[in-house]
This record gives sequence, C-alpha cells and structure tokens, in this order.
Amino acid sequence: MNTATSAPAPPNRISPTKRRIHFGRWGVHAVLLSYSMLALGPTLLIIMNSLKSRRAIFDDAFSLPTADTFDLVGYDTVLNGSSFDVYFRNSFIVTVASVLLVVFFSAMAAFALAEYDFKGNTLLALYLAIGIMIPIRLGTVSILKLMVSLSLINTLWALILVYTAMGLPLGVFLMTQFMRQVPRELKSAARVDGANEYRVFGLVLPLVRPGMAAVAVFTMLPVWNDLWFPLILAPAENTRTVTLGASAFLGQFERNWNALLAALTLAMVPIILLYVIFSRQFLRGLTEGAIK
Amino acid sequence: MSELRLSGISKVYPNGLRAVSDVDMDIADGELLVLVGPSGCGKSTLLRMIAGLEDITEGVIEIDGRVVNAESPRERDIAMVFQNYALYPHMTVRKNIGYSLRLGRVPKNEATQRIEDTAAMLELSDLLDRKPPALSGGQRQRVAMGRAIVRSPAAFLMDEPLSNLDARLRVQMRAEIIRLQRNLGTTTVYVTHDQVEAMTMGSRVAVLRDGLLQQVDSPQVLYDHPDNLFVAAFIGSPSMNLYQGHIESTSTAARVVFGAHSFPLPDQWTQRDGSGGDDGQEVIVGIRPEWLVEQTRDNTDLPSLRVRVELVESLGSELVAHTTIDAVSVESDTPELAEGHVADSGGGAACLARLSPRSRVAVGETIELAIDHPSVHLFDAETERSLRPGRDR
Ligand SMILES: Nc1ncnc2c1ncn2[C@@H]1O[C@H](COP(=O)(O)OP(=O)(O)O)[C@@H](O)[C@H]1O
Ligand SMILES: [Mg+2]
Repeated sequence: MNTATSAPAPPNRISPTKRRIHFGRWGVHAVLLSYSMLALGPTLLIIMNSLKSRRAIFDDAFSLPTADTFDLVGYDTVLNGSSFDVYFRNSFIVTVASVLLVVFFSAMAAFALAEYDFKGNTLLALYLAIGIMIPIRLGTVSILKLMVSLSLINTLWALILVYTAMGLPLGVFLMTQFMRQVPRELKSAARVDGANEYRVFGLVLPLVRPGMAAVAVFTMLPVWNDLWFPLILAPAENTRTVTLGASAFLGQFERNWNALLAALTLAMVPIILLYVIFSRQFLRGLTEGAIK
Repeated sequence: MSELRLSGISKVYPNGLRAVSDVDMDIADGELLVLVGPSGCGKSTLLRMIAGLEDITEGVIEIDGRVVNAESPRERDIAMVFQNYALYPHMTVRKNIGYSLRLGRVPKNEATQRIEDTAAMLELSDLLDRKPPALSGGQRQRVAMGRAIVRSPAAFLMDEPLSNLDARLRVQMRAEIIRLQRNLGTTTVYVTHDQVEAMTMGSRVAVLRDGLLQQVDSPQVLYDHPDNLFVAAFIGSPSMNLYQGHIESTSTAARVVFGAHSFPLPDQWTQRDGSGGDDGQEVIVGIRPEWLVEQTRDNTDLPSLRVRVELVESLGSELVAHTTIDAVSVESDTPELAEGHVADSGGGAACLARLSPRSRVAVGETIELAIDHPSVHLFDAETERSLRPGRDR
C-alpha cells in the first residue's frame, strides 16, 4: 500500500520543470513568430497587391486577390513595357561582382591581418574597422568627381567599385575573426609540407567558408537594394539597376502602383535565391565543423 | 638523411620574451634525439626554428653543413608532426598524406604509390578516403605521421605527438614511432614534456629549462650523473628526495649533514687530491627513493635514516613509502617534482622510499632505512651544479 501511494509521486514532481520548459519554448516561438510577421507582412502585402487590379489595391489593400480582383497588368507593364530584363541583368552583374570582390579581398586582407606580425597591424585593422561606422554616402560628392574624372559615370564598374569599397570594412572585420580561429599549427603544417603563402591562403579558404558566406550575405543585401548610387553614378537607361528602374514608376505626377509592386516582387526573387544559396554554404560550413 | 647542427641558437619574441637562450646541439645522421623539459620551456619554439617557421634571433642552424637560417620551410625539406596533429580537416586521409607530394609536383603514379605504401606501413589503408573528423585520436596521429613519412624528408621534428592520446595508446604508439624511426633511419628530434617518455625513447636526451639547455646525454647518464639540481629533480619517477645540508670535514674524515641525519662523504665526492669538501660548505643532498632500503642484517654497514611512515603505496612490483624525516627539503620549481612529494606534515620533510613489496612497514611506524650513500648526489647550494669532481665536460 505504502509503495502504491508513493509510486506516482515522481512524475508529479518532475512535471513543473517540464511545464517551465514548455512555456519557455512557447515564449521563444511567440517572439520569433511575431518578429517574422512583422518582417514578412510588408513583403506579403507587396506580393499580394501586385496581383490585384489598381482599383482593388485602393479598395482593400489587405485582402487576398480573388477571381474578381486578380490582375496581371503590373507584370505586363514591367515585362513588356520597359527594359526590366536589362535592369535585372545590371543588378545581377553589379551584386555578384561586388560580392565576389568583397569576399575575395576581405579574405586576403583578413589573412594578412590575422597571420602576419607586422608594424602597424593593429592600427591598420582599426583603420579598416572605422569604415564600418562611417557611411560611404558621406563621400558621395568626391566619389562622383572621381568617377567623372575616371570616365566611369554610367558604367556598371562605377557601382561595382563603390560597392566593393562599401562592403570591405565589415567584410575584413568579420573575416579577420574567422581567420583567427584557424589553428596556427594547421598553417605551420602546410608551410612545412612545402606550401608558399598563396597556397597556405588557399588551404585556409575552405575552412573559413562560413565566414565568406556571412560576408556575402551582409554585402549582397544593401548592394541589391541600393537606390542612391545607381541614381547618382549610373542613371542611364542601359546601366539602370532594378531598384532604380522600379522607382521610375513612382513618377512625380503619376504613380503606377501595379507596375511598382510587380517590379518589387520580381526584384525579390533573385535576392532570395542568392540568399538561400549562401546561407546553405554558411550552414554546411558550420555543421561540417570545418574548423576543429 | 641529414645531420643537424645548432650553434648558439636564441629566440626573443617580439614581445621581448626570451624563449630560447644560446642552445648548442648536434644531432647525428639517423639519430633520435629527445628534447625534454617542463611546459613553456621553449621546446616548441626551438623546433619551430629548426623547421623554419620562426625567425632565428641569434645563432646558426645547419643541415648537412648548409646554413639554413634564411631558408623557408619548403627549402629545408624537414617534416614536422604537431601536438594536435594539424590535419587538414576538409581533405581525405589520402589528400592529407599526399599534400606535400602534390605541392612538390611528384608525378601522379609515383605519388599514389608512395601514399599507399605509407598507408600500408601505418595500417591506414582502409581509411584513405575518410576525412579527419571521422577518425579516432590514434588514427589521426598515424595520419600525421604518414604525412611526415611519405616525403622521405631530411629530418623529422615531432612536437609532443603523443600527448593527446590515452595512456595505453601512448605506450603503443611510442614503440611504433621508435620502430619506424629505426627502419627509416631518418634523423629525428622528438619533443616531450614527459620525462618517462624521454627516458624510454631517446638514445640521447636533451633537457631544456627556461630556454637553456641543461644537459645532453644518454638516459642512464642523466639518471646517474645529473649535471645540476634541475636535471636530477626532473629525471626519475618518483623523483629524487632533496634536502638542505652541509659538509663537516675534519683532517681525517668528512661527513654530509642534513637535518638530524648525516653520513660519511663518499669517496667519489672527494677531490682528486683526496681532500674532502670544504668544512661548512652548503650543499643540497639528493637521494633517489630506490637508494633507501630497509635496514637488515646485510646492510648494517650503511648509514641509517630514521623516518616516520605516513603512507604506503603498494604497486605490486614495489612499495612506495611516503615518510617524513627530520630535515629541510628543497623545493624545486618543477611541477613534476612537487607531485612526487607529500605535503610536509608535522614539521618533517617528505621522503620517498622505494621498498621491496615484501616489506612489512606500517603507517605510523618509525623505522630505520639504510642509505646507499655512495650513490647519493651532492649539489652546490648556490649554483645548484653537481659537486661531483673529475667529470670533464
Ligand atoms: N608567438 C609567441 N609570442 C610570444 N611568446 C611566445 C610565443 N610563442 C611562445 N611564446 C612563449 O615562449 C615560451 C616557450 O613556449 P613554447 O616554446 O611553446 O614552450 P613549450 O613548447 O616548451 O611548452 C612560453 O613562455 C610561451 O608563452
Ligand atoms: Mg610545446
């Protein structure tokens, strides 16, 4: 009898902890969910309304497109009425080129900063880090003058160069942290095995892949979304980026909402694809435990 | 196959730390030299300088008579095995072993052959397509060895290659490394902080302390004739008992006095001219635990030592008695030494004795131990150098 009454006691004693864990997990989920809603809401609104007729957008912006309100006129304008294929190509070239250059050069700079003991090493790292805090737009006038004198105005190179400069400070900073995590003995082993410094760098690169992916993601988003520099440095019809092209629908007197929303929706697709690719790399790097 | 020669090697790090001071060392062709010392004494620094990974502040390193100070690691043709193996984590075992061959542009067929031969030698053949994270500690260690062996380099440098393995594997790998080194006949510098490992592996052992080379000799000479207090305390397990003492000498006889104990100054410590040490000279008395035996009818001629037994460790083949005696022990700065001693209890100094397993000493007893006094070491209290006369070096 005695044992029968005492037996069920342990589960009772355990459950409060369990409940707390459950609550903790729910709490976390609630926070994450509400944040996701906040972030995704506007995006969903854009996608939803890009599929509706102009009237329907203004009647009720928050309703889903129905058979009555469904209208692809925006997409028609964007795809057939303008040279969005050119804009897309421009955006794509500029983003991919800037990301590649930023990733490559930050990795090289970070390798040197993390690996070599030279005079002014710390100073140089600090100097580069300052670039994270000072927005490059402050130098727009000088950049414009420079690009004019280099005859790079209205070329994609103007954008690629500026974005590379813009991404490097954060890129170098992040990569330096990742480079420092690569064990010294690994590099020593490579040197003893006969590797020159370029080889050692090449050997280290796959080990900092998560870092490169992080830098790529951080660089990519502001470049793709930027309106400022395309407007100032490359506003010509054949060098326009998607963001600039879409802004053309926000005319001074008339706003083509359908086309604008369709353009924005289309502009999201490539960046989401790129993001998925890079974040896969990021996760793969982490799960492989590349750095041991 | 090569001969290594270090002359006056020093290393001062940019932060001003002097990690290695004026080290002279010759390593003969095909020799296995063990470099031993407590951690932080500069062993890795010295090895990295030989490999070409660290600038040499002073001195000259020669390989087969060729000064290599300015040469990069790849030009020196030296292979190194690291403490944490430093395998390339994203490459298969095959690629890890073959990395140097690929860099050295060895033809593909030959490289494949050499990788497979090496793998076979190290029993890694089945693991060639695995990556390091999927290997056990012992297997990783063998891959690290394979990476060195496959090159047939001028010399091997091994920096505590076994210290990350468990005790049993360590003993096994130790034997394997000795065997491989003998078969290959490659000049090798083997670094360890473990004096037992050093004693079992090296035909010659170099003892390093705070960047200074203390003594280079065979394990037996280091054990029997340590040049100074540090070597005496560092080599041997359990380590030597050390006490403050002095010499009392008269015209006819000299005695060594430590605490309440004394014994006649053995012949070997007297000067060539027959005179004893100076009267009143401060010395440090070193008695290895095995030089203390239980007093029996056979050894009544030996001086005796009255000790109190505090603890008895029975190891099967021997019995280690932790005792206290009436004397002042000398603290050495080596952690290895401190480990061997029981904390002073009741004012006495700790004294370890290795007794026969059949001995019947009991804790709490006060017993008489005989000192095999001709074996005892004496060191100058000031310089800590051995007072053994007539040893030219
Ligand atoms: N890169 C470095 N810069 C400054 N000091 C160092 C550096 N590497 C090692 N040291 C110092 O040099 C001393 C010897 O180190 P090390 O050669 O690694 O010793 P061991 O291998 O014998 O344990 C230690 O005090 C260590 O802190
Ligand atoms: Mg070391």
